Amino acid sequence: MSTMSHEQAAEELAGVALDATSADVAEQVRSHSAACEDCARELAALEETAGALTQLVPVRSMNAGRGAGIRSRLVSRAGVEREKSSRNAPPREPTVVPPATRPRAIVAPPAARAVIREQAPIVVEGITELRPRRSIAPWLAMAAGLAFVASAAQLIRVTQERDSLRSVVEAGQDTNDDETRRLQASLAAKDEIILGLSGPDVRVISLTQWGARGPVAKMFWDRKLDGWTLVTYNMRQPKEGKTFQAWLVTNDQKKIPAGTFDPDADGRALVHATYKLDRNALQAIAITEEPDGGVAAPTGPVIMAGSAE
Amino acid sequence: MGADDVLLMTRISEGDQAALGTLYDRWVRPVYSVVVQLLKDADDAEDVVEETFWQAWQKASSYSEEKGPVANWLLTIGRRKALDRLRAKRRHREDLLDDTDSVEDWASGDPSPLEMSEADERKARLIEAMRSLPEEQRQALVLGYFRGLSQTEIASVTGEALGTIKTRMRLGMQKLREPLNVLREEPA
Repeated sequence: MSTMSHEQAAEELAGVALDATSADVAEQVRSHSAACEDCARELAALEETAGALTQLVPVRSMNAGRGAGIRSRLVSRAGVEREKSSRNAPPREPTVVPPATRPRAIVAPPAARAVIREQAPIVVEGITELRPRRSIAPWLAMAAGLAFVASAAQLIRVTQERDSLRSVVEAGQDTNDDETRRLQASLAAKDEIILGLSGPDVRVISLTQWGARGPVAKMFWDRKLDGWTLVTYNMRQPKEGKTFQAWLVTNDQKKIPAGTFDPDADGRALVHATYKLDRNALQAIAITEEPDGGVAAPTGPVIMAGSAE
Repeated sequence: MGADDVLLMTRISEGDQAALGTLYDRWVRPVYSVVVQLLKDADDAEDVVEETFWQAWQKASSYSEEKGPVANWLLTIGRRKALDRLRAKRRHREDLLDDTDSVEDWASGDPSPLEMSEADERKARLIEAMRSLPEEQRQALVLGYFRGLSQTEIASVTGEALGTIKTRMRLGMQKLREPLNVLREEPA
């Protein structure tokens, strides 16, 4: 209940509309306006006037890369939040994308670029040592083979998904509804992933887990199209409240976030992103375990790493 | 655009993250423009932009057409977050005014993307409306809206009484309403 008189509130309306008063005054004015039609009407008109002033603000554009990074983080975070809430929700109507092919791996559509905010170099335990502490060359060869199989399997899977999507989109092309637009966006995303795995200028960096057999991962870096496609196989699930996050480690020790992901039930994940990096600037790829939603700089343990040398 | 935006908000409130991406693509530029105008720092402005669209995601179900266009709703969120950050950082009186604010300073940029088709005409009318205000009322609005100063801060830097600033702001806004009423969008 506002203790402000009508005259006092009327005096403060313009300041409230311009957000030029204290929070306490604004709250009192709004509380009064909730019970006073004249003040409510006047406040609404003043807020509309204040809104019009926005048109006079000079237009400025954010750095394109940073803007894309923000977008990617927002969409990724929203997806994680939605996944969590949907686990408790009743079953939904099945979509045209087979649910079995999209359990938990997070795949960034082309418009949702990877997080590419550059970070000040920090030392993350283990990141600076790029080679395994003991010789595991034979296992690396097997791991490379497994990863190749995994990536080939992923490529086949994504290709099949793409073909399935394409037929659905082509069937619905005469309509202009939101579902068709969503499917078209998914189709474009699949095409980009396929190109990122099989393009002519794709370099492959293999990641291994130190000291143990198990998960394998490969990062496919399409240096012509600045595409990054991470494929994992046999990865464990992240701990409760955590997710895995990939990093591009540069020669000057910057750790550039490259997307978060949760593997599916088979330990597979496929993450695609776009980031322009000098061909000679990459030192390593690393995967850490971080809080849900990802972080701007690595905080968690290194799960896997691979040298780009 | 208005009806499309409302549909986007509905989809966002239903958990459609792609719709959040579309909303971002559509309105990030004006939101960033308003925020960086206040903060004068790209890093801070980027943080606020991200916070703004994240709040839009979380509060989408609370948006209704009665609150006005989606763009204004977003810009209000962004502006308020920028003001919170700006006022938390301000510590010294000399920080409050470090350049001269005139109508020309903030009217010299490209037309706002909010209404590109009639941008030049609308902007010209707005500038004229601002120029027609008495100097002291215009100063109060420029310092309050474009520089993000509170009424108390404006009183401090101008040496005027707080009550005087409140009156100038109120009279200036009331005078702006008439010419701006001509520029109001027709309902869809």
